[in-house]
Amino acid sequence: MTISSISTNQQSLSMRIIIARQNEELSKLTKETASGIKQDVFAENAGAATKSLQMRSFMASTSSYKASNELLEGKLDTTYEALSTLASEAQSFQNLSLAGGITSMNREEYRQEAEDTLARMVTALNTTYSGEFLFSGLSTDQKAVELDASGTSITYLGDTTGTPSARIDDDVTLNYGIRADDPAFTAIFGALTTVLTTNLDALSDTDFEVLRENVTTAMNDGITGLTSQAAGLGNNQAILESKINDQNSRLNIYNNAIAGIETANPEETALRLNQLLNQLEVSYQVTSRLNGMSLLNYL
Amino acid sequence: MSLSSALNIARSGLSVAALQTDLVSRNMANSETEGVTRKWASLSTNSTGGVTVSAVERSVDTLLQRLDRDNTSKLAQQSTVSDGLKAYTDFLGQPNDETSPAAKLSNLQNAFVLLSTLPSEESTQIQVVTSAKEMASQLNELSGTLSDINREVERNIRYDVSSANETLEGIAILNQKILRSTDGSIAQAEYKDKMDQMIDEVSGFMDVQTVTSQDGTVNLYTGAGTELVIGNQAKTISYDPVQGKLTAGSVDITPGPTGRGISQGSLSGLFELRDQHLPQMSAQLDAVAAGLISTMESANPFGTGGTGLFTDAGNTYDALSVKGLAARITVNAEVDNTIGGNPSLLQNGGNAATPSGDSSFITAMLDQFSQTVTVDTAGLGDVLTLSEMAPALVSLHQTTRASAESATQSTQTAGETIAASRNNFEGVSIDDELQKLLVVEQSYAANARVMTSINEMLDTLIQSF
Repeated sequence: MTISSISTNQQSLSMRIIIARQNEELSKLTKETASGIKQDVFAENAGAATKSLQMRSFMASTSSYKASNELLEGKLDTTYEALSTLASEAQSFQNLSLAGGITSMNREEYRQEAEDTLARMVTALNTTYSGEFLFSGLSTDQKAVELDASGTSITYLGDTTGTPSARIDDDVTLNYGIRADDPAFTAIFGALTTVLTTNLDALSDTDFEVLRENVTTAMNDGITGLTSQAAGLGNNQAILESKINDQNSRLNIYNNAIAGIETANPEETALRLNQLLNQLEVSYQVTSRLNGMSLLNYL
Repeated sequence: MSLSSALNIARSGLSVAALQTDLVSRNMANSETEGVTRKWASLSTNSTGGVTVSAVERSVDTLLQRLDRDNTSKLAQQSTVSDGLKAYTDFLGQPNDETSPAAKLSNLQNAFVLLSTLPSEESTQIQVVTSAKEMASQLNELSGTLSDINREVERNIRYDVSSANETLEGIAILNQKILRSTDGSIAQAEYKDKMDQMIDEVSGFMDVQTVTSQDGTVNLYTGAGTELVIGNQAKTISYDPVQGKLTAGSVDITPGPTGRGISQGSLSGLFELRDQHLPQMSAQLDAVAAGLISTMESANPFGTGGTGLFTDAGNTYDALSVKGLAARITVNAEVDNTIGGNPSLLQNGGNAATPSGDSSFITAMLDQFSQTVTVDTAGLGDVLTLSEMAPALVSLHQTTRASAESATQSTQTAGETIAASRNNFEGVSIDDELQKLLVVEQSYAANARVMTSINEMLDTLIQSF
């Protein structure tokens, strides 16, 4: 008669395999509980891991567009400030030109005001952001304007081929630059240069009135031009801000989707860990009891 | 006459009990020895009425042996593949790892985004160059890892072939020993144990089938029927690394879909890595390198001879020499500030007259990331943009590894059941042996008692005279 028996070696081998498996699973769950991230995303769900990898790539590029856009936002803010300064300087000279008592005022004072305005505007036009000149067109390493030695006229030193642009998202470009050779500035500088190069004291009241008329007309054109430039810039700022908001929302979406794939569910992991610890305890007890069960103990 | 015959019978009982004790003690002593089967004495009555050992039997089941060996071959093949792949994919990392080439490519793209806003900023230009160098060196390293694994595979094929030859030789020698040993003897049973262990060993290298002759010798064939050992003649397995061919004697047994090739075992796994996975993965890494070199070069050929940000060891992209490109890709020395290059070439495209705020070359390079590549993607995907290439590569290679591992695991789980059945059938239960020992001890005592009684009876007879 054949008696089928369990090999003593196989019995202990089976228990060893069971305990080794449980320990391996325990190590994985411990890691997942501690890090909160699945140990091998590709093994758990290869398709989702591929998705997660693609989304990480989108997230990284969106996040860097956002960072770059925030930098650009700073640049536009600085340009806007400079443009406001320029407009307010021009407006304040225009106010002086339009004042009722101008004909009888000290003409030297008027000339001096023109000179100061010109100097302040040159400073504002040479504003830099992170080492780049803002009003020089594409030649951002070049000063935009320079006052000549006599202090009466200015020369545009920047580039005349285009304005800077930036990539604010995949396939979306924003042209944002304002050049100091824009007709608005040319009109204002022309008016100020006229005041500075004319011998005002030699003018009769009538001639002075004609000059004043010409200056205010030119200044008016310039100020209108600056206002329209400021509106364009404000529009760009709004586009950029909405792009940044949009990118923020996209980052949240990507982040949640990635977390959904890569994160180990803490409750589930904890529950599995607990179950496994109980199983392991039982396995140890059974192994110990089995080892104690031998005919040898009764002989 | 009947008393002396009784004495002989009792003596036969004693010697059989002694042999049974020998077997029980062998079984118990070797209860932990792998490949040693449980043995027992098959008893019969001889012509004088005594007991005799007709044969020493081994507890083996040929069906379980065959199933277990098939499984060993299959498992060896799958684990060889998954271990080989894992050695490489560990360098690819999980999606959240910064070491992944997907992360490196994405860093490069991000550096370009920042540079498009600050085109003349030197630190940002240097950041692009640094990210590009990291990308190139990552590809170099991954390609190096694949070459290392390839060398390791070649070495292991040679080791396995030499071990398999030794074992086949051992089987041929054992066949001779079995033939010369006495049928049913303990020595023959031990030879047969050794034979089974050696066949188990060969089944780790390749799939085999056995035919056992009446005389107990074993002829060994590959799974597809090529002779490996016939009687005392073993065929020599040889490997030709140049042709990539494996032969047994003069028969081609190279693993593959056609012919009489082996299909399981570690040798089959090594050939699968050598001929299938490693060349494909290398070609895909080369495709990523080709994508980088060709797109950057077409967007901004600032360097000597029309080279771009990435070069093929200093030269322009050549569609005819893509093989090995991942090992050769470098960042153009002309923009590398650490070796005297000028990173502003990225912005001015090699023309010093380009205004410093002109970001057209940078955006042209940035645009390449979202455009479909024109290089051969070597199976990474039909329509891929440059920025999709690295994630596609990582996920494809990791998925191949994960599925190889999962196949290994399921074979292992299924195999454990068969291996456990075989071990239970062939192995020793100490409790069972102890019970047998008690019976043998009793039988020995009883036979000895019979002898004492006969002795007393004979004494009585002698004293009556």
